[in-house]
Amino acid sequence: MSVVIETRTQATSTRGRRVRDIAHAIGSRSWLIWVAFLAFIVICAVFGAKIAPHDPLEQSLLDRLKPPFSTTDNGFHFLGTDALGRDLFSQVIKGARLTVFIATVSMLIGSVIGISLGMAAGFYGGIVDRLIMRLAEAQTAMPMFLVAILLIILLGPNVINLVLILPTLVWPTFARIVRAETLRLRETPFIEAAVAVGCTGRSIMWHHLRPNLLSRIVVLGVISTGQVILAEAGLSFLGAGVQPPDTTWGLLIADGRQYLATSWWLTITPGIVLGLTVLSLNMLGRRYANLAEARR
Amino acid sequence: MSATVANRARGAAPLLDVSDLTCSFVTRSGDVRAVDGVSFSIAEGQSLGVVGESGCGKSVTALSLVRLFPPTSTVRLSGRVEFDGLDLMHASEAELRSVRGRQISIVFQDPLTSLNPVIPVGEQIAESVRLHLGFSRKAARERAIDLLSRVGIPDPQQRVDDLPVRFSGGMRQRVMIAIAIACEPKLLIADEATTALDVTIQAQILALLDQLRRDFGMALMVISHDLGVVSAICDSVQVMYAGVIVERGPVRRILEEPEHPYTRGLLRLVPRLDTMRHHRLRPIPGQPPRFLSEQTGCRFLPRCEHATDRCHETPPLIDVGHRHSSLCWLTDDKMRSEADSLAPGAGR
Amino acid sequence: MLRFLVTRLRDGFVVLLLVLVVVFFLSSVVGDPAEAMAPADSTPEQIQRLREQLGTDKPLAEQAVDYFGGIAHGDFGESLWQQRPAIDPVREALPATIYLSIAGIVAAAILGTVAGIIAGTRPNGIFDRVANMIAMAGISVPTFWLGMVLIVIFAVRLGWVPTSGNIGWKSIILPATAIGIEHGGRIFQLVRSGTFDELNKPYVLVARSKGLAGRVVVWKHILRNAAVLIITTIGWEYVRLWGGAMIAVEVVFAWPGIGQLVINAADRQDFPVLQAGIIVAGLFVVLSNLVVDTFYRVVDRRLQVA
Repeated sequence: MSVVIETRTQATSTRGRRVRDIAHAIGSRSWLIWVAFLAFIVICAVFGAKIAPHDPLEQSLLDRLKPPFSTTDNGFHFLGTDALGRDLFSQVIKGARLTVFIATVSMLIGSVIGISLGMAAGFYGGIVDRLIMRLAEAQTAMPMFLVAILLIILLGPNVINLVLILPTLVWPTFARIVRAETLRLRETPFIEAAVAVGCTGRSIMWHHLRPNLLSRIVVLGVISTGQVILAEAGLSFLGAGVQPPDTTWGLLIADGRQYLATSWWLTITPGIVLGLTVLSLNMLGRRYANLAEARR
Repeated sequence: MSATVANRARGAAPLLDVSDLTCSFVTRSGDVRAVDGVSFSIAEGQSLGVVGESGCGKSVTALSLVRLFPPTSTVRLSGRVEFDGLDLMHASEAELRSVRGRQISIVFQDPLTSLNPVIPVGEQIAESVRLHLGFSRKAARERAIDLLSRVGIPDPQQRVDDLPVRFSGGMRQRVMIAIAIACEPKLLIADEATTALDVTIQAQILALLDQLRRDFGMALMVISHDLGVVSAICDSVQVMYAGVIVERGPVRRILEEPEHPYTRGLLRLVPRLDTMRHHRLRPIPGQPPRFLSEQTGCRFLPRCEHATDRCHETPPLIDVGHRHSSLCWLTDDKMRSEADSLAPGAGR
Repeated sequence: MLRFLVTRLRDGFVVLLLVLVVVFFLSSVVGDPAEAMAPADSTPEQIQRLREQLGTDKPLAEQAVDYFGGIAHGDFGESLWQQRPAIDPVREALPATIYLSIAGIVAAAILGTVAGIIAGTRPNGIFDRVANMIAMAGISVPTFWLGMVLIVIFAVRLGWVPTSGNIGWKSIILPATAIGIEHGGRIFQLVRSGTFDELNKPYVLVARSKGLAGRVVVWKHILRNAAVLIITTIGWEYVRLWGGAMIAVEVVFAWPGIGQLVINAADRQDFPVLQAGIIVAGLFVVLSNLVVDTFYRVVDRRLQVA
C-alpha cells in the first residue's frame, strides 16, 4: 500500500505546472515585445514628422479636443486632437525625436564622464579616488533636481543646456560601479600579470578592464536612458525643459494638464508612451543583467 | 499535540517505522529521485546511525519524515512513515507541525547559520516551549536558562539574552541542541551535527548527545558521512548509497565484518591506529550517480571492484544473521556456500 | 560611535556648504539674476538699478561674504515678489511638504514592504508576478503623470477626493498614493529580493523544524532579519523624495509646499525665494541622510560585534 503524496511548498498541480510552463515559455520571450516597442520608438525618432499621419503643427480649431479614434474632415485621429485641433498621435511621434535625442546624448555624455572618473578612481586610488568619490557622494546627497531647475532657468531653457545638465544626474552611478569593478579586477591575477610584464596604466585599463566591464555598463546605460527620459519629462513638465515649438513627451503631458478634467487623453496617452518606453528599457536592462549574471 | 494518539499500535511496535519511502524532487527537467524505497525502524531509546557520501539521500530521508523541505522546492513522496502510532505520511500540515519540535527534533549541520542572527538565543529556545508546552513567557525563559545549563553553556543566566554572534561554533551547536531537546522529543535527528566542528568539540558534542539520550530516554538518529562519528554513539548503523540502504547491522558487526563492498570502501577511509602501518587511506574511485535512473542492477556497480555480470540484476537484501544484512550478490554467494558446507547435499 | 557621528556631521555640513556654493555661484557667475528677472522690455538703466537692489553689482567676493553671512543669521535676502524676507514663504510651506513626504513614504513603505515580503516568500507565484509587473510599471512612469491619472479617475470621474490643494484629510490621499506607488515600487524590489535571500537561509529551516507555522516564520524570523534592509531602503527613498521627486507631485496637486513654492518663484524669477527653497530642501536631504546612515551603523554594529 504505497500512496503517493505530493508535498507542495508551492502550489503546483500537474495542470498548474503546465500552465506555468506555458507562462514561462511566453515569459522567456516577452523581451521581444519590449525590443519591438523600442524599435518602433526609434523609427519614430529617426523619421519623426515624416511618418506621422498628419502634420503635427497643423491646427484646426473646429476639430479641437477630439477624443481618441475620432474622425474629422482632416481624417482619422488615432489619439484624438489637442486644444488647437492638432493630431495628438503625430505630435507624440514628433516628440519622440527630441525625447530620444536628449535622453541618448545625455546618457552617453554622463556615462563617458562616469566611466572615465570611475576608472581613474579605481585605478589610481589615493587622493584621486577620494576626490572623485566624494564628489559623487556629495552630489547624490543634494537636491539635484532642484539645482537642475535653478541651472536651467539661469542658463535658459533649451535643448543644449538640457543635454549639458542631465548628465550630472547620470554619472555618479557609472563612476561607482566602474570603480568597484576596477578595484575588483585590479586584484585579479591577470591584471597583476599585465602590470608585471610592463603594460602601462592606460593600456591595461583599455584592453583588460573594458571587456569585463562591458556588460554591466550596457545594463546601466540602458536603465539610465530611462532615468534620463523621466528626469527630462519632469523638467519639461515644470517649465524648465524644452520650449515650444519644440516638443517632448514631457511637454505634451504638461500641455494637456489644463484640460485634464475634460480631455484626459491629452495627458494620459503621451504618458503611456513615455512609460512604456522607460518600462521597455528597464525590462531589457534587467533581462540582460540576469543573462550576464547567469553566464558568470 | 492532540493528534498524536490517533491509532497507537500494539505493544512492541517500534517508535518509528518507515517502509518503502521514496522521495523525488520535481524539477523542470523531470523528477530527480533522492531516496528510492528505503525501509527501516527505530525503537524507543535506540540510536541509529545513517552513513553515506553526501548526496546519497540520508538527509533527505530524515527531512522526509517530517516533510521539511526548502520552501522553493516541490517534492513527491511515497511510502509509509509511522511514528508513535501516527501516520506521518498522511498527516496534515498542522498535525506535522505539532510533531516537529515536539516529538521529532532535528539538529542541523551548520551552527553558524542555523540560528537566527537577530533573535536572542533564549528566545529561540523558549519559542518552541511556548508553542508546544504552552509555557508563559516567564516560565519559558526559565526553561531556556535551564536547558542552556543542561547543554553545558556556562553562565546561562547571562547568556540567555545574547545574540548568536556572541557564541562560538561549538557553543552554537550546543544552543541548537538545547532548542532540539526543549520539549523532550521522542526522537532526535542529528543531521551531520558535528561535521562543521573541530575534532575535540566534535567529541564533546557527541558525548553530550549520548548523555541526553540516556537522560531523556529519547531515540537518536545520527546522520553522518563519517563512520567514526556514528560508531561512537550508535547501537546500529545503516549504510546508504544512491538512495538505497546497502547494508545494515549492529555497529560492531559493520565495523568488523562489513559485507558490502561499499561499506568496506568507507571503512578504508576511517583512520585506524592498528592498521595504519599497512594501509594508506584509500578513497573509493569514481563518483556516485548524480541522477538515479530507472535502470535495474546494483547501484554501486560502476565503482565496484568485485563487479560481475550478475550485478546487472538488482541484488536482494540478504540477511547474514546477527540482525546484519547486505544488498549484494557477494553476500548471497557467501550465504549459499555457507549453507552448502553446513548441510551438504541438502537444497536451500 | 561619537567619531562616526562627528565625521558624518562634518560630511553633511560639507554637502550643505556645497549646495550653498553651487546655488550662489550658479546664480551670480553663470547667469545674471537681474537680467533674468527684469521684464523683457527693460532699459539697461532699469536692469542696473535691479542689480544694485540685488547687490549683484558688487564684486563677487563681497557678494559671497554678504550672502553667506546673511544665511548664517537666517537671512536669505528679500523676496522680490512678496516684499518680505525670502525665508518666510519657505517656512510657511515647509509643514505641508513634511506632511506630504511622511504620508508618501508611509504609503510607499506599507505597499512596498507588505507586497515585497509576500512576493519574496512565494517566488514566481501569481502574486509575485503581478506585483513585480506593477512595481516595474510604477517606477517606469513619471510620478507627476501617475498623479494626474489618479486625479482623472478618483477626483474627476468618481469624485471621491478633491482634485487639488490641501483641504481636509482627503486631500492627502492621492498625492501620497502617487508617491507610494513609485517609491513603493523600488522598496518592493529590494524587499522582495532581500526576503527571497533570507528564505533560503538555514535558520528558516530550523525555525520550521521547531513546528512554527509558516506565517510565524515569515513575519517573525524573516522579517526581523530583513528589517535592517527594509528600514534602510525606506530611509533612502525618503532622501530621494526630498531630493526632488516630490516637486512635480506638489505642482500637480497644487500642494502648498516647498516644491510648488520653488516652481512659482522660478516662474516669477524670484531668485532669493528659489535659493532659500533649494537650501532648505538640501538641509532636509542632508538631515535624513544622516539619520539613515546613523541608524544603519547602530544596528549593523549591534549585529556584527562579538
